[in-house]
Amino acid sequence: MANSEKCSVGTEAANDALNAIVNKALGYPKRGTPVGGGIFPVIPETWDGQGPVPFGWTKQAVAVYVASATDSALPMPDDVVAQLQAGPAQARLSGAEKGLLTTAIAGRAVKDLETGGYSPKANAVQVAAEKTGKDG
Amino acid sequence: MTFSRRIGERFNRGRIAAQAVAPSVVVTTPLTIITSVPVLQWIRGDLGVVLGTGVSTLADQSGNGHHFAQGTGAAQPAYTASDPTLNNQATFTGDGSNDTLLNATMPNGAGNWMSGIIKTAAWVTNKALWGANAAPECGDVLTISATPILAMFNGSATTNQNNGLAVATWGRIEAHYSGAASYLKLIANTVSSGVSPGVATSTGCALFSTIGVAIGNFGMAERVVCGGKPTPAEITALDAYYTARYGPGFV
Repeated sequence: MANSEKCSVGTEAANDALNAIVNKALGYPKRGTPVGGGIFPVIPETWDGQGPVPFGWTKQAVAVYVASATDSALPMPDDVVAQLQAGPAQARLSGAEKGLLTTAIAGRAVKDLETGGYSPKANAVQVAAEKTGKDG
Repeated sequence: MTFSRRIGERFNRGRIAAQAVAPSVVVTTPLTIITSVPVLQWIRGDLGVVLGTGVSTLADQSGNGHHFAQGTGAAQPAYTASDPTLNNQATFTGDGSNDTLLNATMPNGAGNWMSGIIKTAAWVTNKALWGANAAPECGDVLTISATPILAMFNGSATTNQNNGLAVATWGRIEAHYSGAASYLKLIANTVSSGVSPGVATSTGCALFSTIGVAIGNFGMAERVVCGGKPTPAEITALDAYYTARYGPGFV
């Protein structure tokens, strides 16, 4: 099945920079909300966004997909773009960052990430097996 | 003041004694049912869930710490706290595009026995239900046809094809990776068996994805992974636990 998405297409470095702007606008990284009972891993209260993603945290809204250093794609679906264009997201950005984001949104192209040889950049998960409770 | 404390002490001693003789309540779970082999990992939709955009962390309830995580919001499976299609139990669903949950620590592949509660919205060729998160590819269950066929893969060939679960129907699955004793069982009694899927092993596993296979559009409510096959009595008891929990509409 095809996996076609509206994407910003460019070099890996350019899309890494664009992804940083997207995350800044949307307030990532974000700490998640535990629900239900049972065992939970330790979820740090704060995280600076460096190193492996701690359990319970979301590092980024979307991932950069890479085919080569000169061919990468950052998915920017319409729902994400709507959030980026809203007031709270815009308020987090500088003028230059708003300009780059606007240009990227306007230049989106549909890419098939499944058949185009793209792979999402690594999402390293925490290896530590810390536990804080027991199932009841 | 002193008098009151003495009264309280006597009263408390009585309460403690009463609690000591009260029968304890044992909650039936896969951990209480399966004791003949080690339970390596147990996840369930209402336990140890952390929500970001979707499910960002799904914690292992076995006590072994083999948790799942996903740090990209767009790739987090959707969460349904009370799913009306599964007796109002909690479920999570991949989008078939990029949703996957990853674990980097669990021993995966040969010898393992797996059981779960799953469904798919549509059968599409070469989509992963679960599998390895690092080379070599192993411990996989994946679709191999646009018709309702799931198969096992453990580094050599897709084997033990099984078409026992209809589209958009919640049902149980069992898979055992054990040479010629390997089998893939869907719903109550549809078993495909007898062909070894290979003996590869790796560390780390994934839900809705694996190496070299497209991300699957499955839903899931629960999964248990053991380091060997439980006894027939334990499997029967686990089926009874599933039936009691997931109730009407579940096959």
